[in-house]
Amino acid sequence: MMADGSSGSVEIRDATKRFGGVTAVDGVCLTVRPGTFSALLGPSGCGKTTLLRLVAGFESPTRGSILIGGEPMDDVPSYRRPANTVFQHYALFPHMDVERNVGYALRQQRPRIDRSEQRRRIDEALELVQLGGYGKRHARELSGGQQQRVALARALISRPQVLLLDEPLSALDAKLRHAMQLELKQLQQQLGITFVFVTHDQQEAMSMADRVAVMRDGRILQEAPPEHVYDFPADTFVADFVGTMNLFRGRLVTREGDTATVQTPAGTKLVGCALSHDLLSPGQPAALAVRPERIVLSLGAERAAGPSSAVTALRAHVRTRTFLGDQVSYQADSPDVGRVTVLQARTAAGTDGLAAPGDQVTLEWALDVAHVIPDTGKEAAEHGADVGLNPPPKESGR
Amino acid sequence: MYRVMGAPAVVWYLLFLAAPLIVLLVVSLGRRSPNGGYQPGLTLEQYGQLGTRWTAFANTVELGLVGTVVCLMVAYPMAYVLATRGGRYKTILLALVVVPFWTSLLIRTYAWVFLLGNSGIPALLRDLGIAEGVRLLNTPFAVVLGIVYNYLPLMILPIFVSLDRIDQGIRQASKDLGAGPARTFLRITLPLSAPGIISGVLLVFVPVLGEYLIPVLLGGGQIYFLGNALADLFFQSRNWPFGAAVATAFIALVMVLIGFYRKAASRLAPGTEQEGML
Repeated sequence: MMADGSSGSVEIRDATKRFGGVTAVDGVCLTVRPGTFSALLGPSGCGKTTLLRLVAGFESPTRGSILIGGEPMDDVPSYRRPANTVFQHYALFPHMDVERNVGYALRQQRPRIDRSEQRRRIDEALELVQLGGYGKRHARELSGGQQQRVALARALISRPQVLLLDEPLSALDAKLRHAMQLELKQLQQQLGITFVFVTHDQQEAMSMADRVAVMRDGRILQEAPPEHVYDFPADTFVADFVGTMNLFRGRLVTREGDTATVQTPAGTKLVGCALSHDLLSPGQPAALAVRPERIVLSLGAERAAGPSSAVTALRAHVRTRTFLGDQVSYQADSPDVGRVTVLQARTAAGTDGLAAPGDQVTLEWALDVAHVIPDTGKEAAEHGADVGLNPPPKESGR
Repeated sequence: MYRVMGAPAVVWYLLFLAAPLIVLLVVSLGRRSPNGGYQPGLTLEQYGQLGTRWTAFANTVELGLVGTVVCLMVAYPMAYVLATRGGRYKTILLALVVVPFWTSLLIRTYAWVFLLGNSGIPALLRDLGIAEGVRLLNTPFAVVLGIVYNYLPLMILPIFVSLDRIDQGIRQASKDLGAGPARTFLRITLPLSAPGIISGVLLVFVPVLGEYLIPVLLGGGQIYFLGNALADLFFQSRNWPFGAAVATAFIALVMVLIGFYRKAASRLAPGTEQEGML
């Protein structure tokens, strides 16, 4: 349809969506480049599904505009948009068999596509999702994973510029979910169609997407490649939501260029890199963030790296040690910063050389793995406590 | 255990279904005694004169069909709006549809006698200078109106249920895949609400066929339903065997009609046999 370079792009310009007094999407700007796999990640109620529905055309923005393939979608109804959706609960047509479900979009096209061409494309789409030969089955005879594939084939058959996926894997069990993640990623690369994927599961977003947009309260907090989001989270909410993070909360003392100092309530001063533009005024809430796997734990009081200003060293004693197979996880208490989580790779069999509960240890980390970031409040911390293992409940249909 | 639990059902069926039908059949094979009532016999002569009540048969089926179709055409949009736009008032609005049913059929229908009578709507039309000499009462229109008014809830309820059951996401999926509102309605909403339509049509059509009160009050004896013919045969001319023959023939006709209808319905909406009522 469009040959120029913008085909397949999605542009969200300052979009706001209010439902009554509730602002579900709040001034979001986002550009998705053609042929990429983007994830909208956030807890339930953060507005990610509403944002997707704005792109699909099921909702219209209260303010702002949406462009698909460079074209404004303001007055374009969902049935004329070059974007198709894979719904959370599949939304297969219950009165049609697999074939008629998959071919639905083709039958809507004018001028009509002739029968044999429809046939060919339906078979092709079913092959694509590895459901060849299932055409005559009824949707209710299929398993959840198979229904998911039918929904995918149905949405892809008309070759939309953009495929929107609304938590499509959340109803599948863990094993199937992992398999489908790989498959979706492959499918996206194979077809070159832009995928926008909504999820509350950070692992899912990280493993599939080229870019991740972390959302909270209707806003995008950070939009970057997954590695960047993991390594350089924008604030404590993102840091906590994505992976496990040690957050030492306090107040900003000084900011000099790329380094900043945070003082914890206990009075300890911690130094780290500072990238945020929102971190300027001394006294504002801030936290030092260090990933557990970046901390070096050594037995006793001696420092592994030797005395250096580029390294922070703390004394602590081990409370628990958890065996994770290839890794060992420690919970240690430091008088300076409180509870610290440390993740250590296991290099030898058995427990030789590992610290045990009660042991005095030294925790060290390099300056460049510690980041001073704005502290956006306690609720993020509470939220982060169970992220990863227990994703929050599904977002409501709002 | 099941035997004990099943006993009331068996007794009920024997006493109130099988026994009356057998009595009806037996009486229909007898003769009218000289001063009315029943005289035993074994003859088909009553069935031979069924033709004399042809008008009543035709009236019943014709007005029953028209009434049911009009009922469907009024009920479907109402049910659709209730189910899709009702929001949180859905249940209240639905209950309001049923509220008129709390008054007795007789009173509701009698109210229409006044409304349609000469001092009702025709008088209003005359006073407003819109139309002169309009006759509404005792016309087929009045009978159909009475049918639609009285049976509307029976049509709305099953259609509402089937529409309400359709996941909003399914309609959205249809639009997402390129079907506009009209095609989404024809390809998705209408077929998925077919079980409700099928149930509603049966729930209205079958009792309307046996309607007695509405033709009497609103048709004024001009529009003669089978129910009225039967009442006359049993209570006026006291020709029980002929009345029984008419009733038996009528039951057979209804069963044939329902049989055809169900066959057609199952072709239109496969898989609805288990779900639909009756």
